Amino acid sequence: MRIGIAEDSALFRDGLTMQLGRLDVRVVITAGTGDELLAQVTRCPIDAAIIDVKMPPNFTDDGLQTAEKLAASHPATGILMLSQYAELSYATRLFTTGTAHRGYLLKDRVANAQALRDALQRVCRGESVVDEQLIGRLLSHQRHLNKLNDLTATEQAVLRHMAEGRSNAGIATTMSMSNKAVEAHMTRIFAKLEIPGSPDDNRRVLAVLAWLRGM
Amino acid sequence: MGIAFTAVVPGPAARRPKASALRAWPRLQVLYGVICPPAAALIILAFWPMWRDRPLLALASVVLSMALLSAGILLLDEPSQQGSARMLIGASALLTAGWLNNWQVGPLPLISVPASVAGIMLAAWAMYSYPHSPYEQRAGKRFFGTVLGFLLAAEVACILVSRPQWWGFPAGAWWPSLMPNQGAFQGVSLLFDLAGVGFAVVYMLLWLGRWRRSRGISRSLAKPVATAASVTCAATAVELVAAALSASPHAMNLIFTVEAYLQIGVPAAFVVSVLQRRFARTRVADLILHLRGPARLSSITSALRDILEDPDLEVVESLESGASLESGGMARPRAGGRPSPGMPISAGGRLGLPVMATSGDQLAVIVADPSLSIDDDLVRAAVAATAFALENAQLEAALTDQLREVHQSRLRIIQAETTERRRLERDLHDGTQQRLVAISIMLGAAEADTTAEPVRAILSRAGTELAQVIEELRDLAHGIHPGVLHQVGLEKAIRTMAERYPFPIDVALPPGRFSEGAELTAYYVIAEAISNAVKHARARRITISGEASGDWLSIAISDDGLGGARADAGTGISGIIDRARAIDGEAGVESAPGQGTRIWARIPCA
Repeated sequence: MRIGIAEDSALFRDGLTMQLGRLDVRVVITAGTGDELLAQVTRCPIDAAIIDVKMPPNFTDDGLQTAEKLAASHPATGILMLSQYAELSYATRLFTTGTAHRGYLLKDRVANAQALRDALQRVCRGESVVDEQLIGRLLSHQRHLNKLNDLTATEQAVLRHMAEGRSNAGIATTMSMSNKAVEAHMTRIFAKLEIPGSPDDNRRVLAVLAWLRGM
Repeated sequence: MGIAFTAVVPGPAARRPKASALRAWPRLQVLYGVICPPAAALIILAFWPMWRDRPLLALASVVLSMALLSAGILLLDEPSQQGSARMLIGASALLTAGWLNNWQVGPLPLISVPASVAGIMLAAWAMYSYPHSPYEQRAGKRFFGTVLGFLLAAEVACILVSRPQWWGFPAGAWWPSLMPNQGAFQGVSLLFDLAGVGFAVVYMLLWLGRWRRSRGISRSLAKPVATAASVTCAATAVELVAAALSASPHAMNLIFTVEAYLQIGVPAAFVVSVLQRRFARTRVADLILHLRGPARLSSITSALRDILEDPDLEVVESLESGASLESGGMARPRAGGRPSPGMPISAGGRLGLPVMATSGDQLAVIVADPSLSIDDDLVRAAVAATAFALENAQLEAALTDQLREVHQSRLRIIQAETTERRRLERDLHDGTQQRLVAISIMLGAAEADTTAEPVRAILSRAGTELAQVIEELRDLAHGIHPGVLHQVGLEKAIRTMAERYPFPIDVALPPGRFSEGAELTAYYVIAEAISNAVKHARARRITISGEASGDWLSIAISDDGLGGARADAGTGISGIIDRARAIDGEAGVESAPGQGTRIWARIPCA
């Protein structure tokens, strides 16, 4: 797997490169800014890009803009956004122009090699990724207690996976069940929780996130 | 006659402004109560014989004497009008004495003849010098003194060369007839009458001069007395001419009667004028009340111009003490009759009235028409009102400055705090936290690479701990400053914050973006209110609502907790109010015990 990194902190960049090296992933581009990454991507193709949200020159959402440009020019390239802030609205913003090949992780998740590899593989496959810690926090929120209690344990797990952006196939594999069973669970979940939309929508993750956030 | 002229200018101490009509009221009552009954008795006694023969004349004379006395007492109440008051009371007494000859016995005619002359002169002088004119006084004193002396001398001469019976007095009347001589008597009588007519003409001319000199309010105030003076002067002239032409007793009686009724106009004019002057002073005092908003020099000027009827009046602000007008060549008043300090006349013939603050500093100078100085009380009222208004304006300006300074200082403190928090948050996020993550990665690598099981366990433990530290650090940094606020906006940032709490927080905020200061303030208000609800109110549900309308963002945070929160200094709620006020917003708390707490804020968000 060929990876490009856009990250302004040299120390973090080095740590990330080191972590990716251990995962047998080749880092072919290391850029300090989003524009640098975009410039190099044209010469040096990559499978996925890891992009920090907050980068020069504005230190606001420069990374998100880079991601949008990259997604537009290279729709098949996986994009993994990293953020220091546990801010789900970055994820929802990332998903508004498309959910395939896009993921959002908290920066400290990088320390977990398994989670990082899993996330990279999923964005390369075309799935979405939402930091499971953020999803866990949302699901444990008291607001949802009553409604979530209506779900079976399996349904709760499926909901969590949907919120994390996994595909039907991904969920089926992870939970060792058939695609059809997963779809049935999803339909029930949407009905029970009265989530607007349908589980077949490719922007399903957005609907689930919105429901979880109470919007 | 000395009595009449020495009392004209009371000393400065006697002329301190004497309160309102309300405070004067009891004193007036006492004066009237004490003086009027015996005076009325005396007057009625003096006119007693007249009631039978000439009741109309008697009635007019009684009314005139009583009215002069009343007007005198009314003026007695005004410290600056003591002179006029005494002259009117004196005139009343002398005119009453002048009618004593009605008794036609003994030496009474001897008293009555000069008394009536002196009474008329005193009344004329009282009218002319009223309300208080330094210019009129000096020239007037000499003129009236001379005329009175001459007329008295003529009267005495008349008496010495005549018998009372020649005047129509009965045989009982007596006076020292040194060398009775018909021819001499008629000659001196004629001289007396001509001198009287001459005086009447000169008196009219004097009034004409005074009238021409007066302007504005002093002319308005002099109008009633001037009218009365002209009318009585003309009547007196007619009487004297008729006497000189030896008119019949019947005709003279008619003239005397009409004249007496006309003379009642004199005290009446004084009463009208007193009321006018009080009204004018009240209007000047009202000046302060009518100057709404910050009193400016221009508004004071136009109010004074209006009230004092002086369109050329100016109020000049003093830059340094008295500097502004002294350069124009100030001189002490020519008349020299102004005992109060600081009533200089400028070279241009204008009256300069310094306006002093209570501290003794000169605030301004009122440059007015010199005719204003005729009414001391009015001048003092104008100066006092102006001083009050200017001093108020100064205090108000100083207070506004201080308030602005306090406001700016609070804003600076909050800005400095925000900057510092932002810096700290950035240091934690961009520095410390990233390094910790990098260390965490290295620990993970070491853990993966080592084969020594004890080391792996330690590294694993260290990695787990470090992950927790990173998590805590992120929350801590966020608490110091909401780093994402600027990027995601108020509504999303609050939603994220709400997700951190384990109980329901309903967020209904407008999704739009607002000014950075408004968003930051709203964020802090909400964060502080939530923290307050969690810490003190033991709330289980919080509702955050907001609405943007026009240039204002209104937010409210309601909880179902204990209530009874107060905005005491040092509490989170007082901090909320401070923060809202610092950007010209406002905030408040409604928190009845047991009813939950609602904290609201209105924040300018343009």
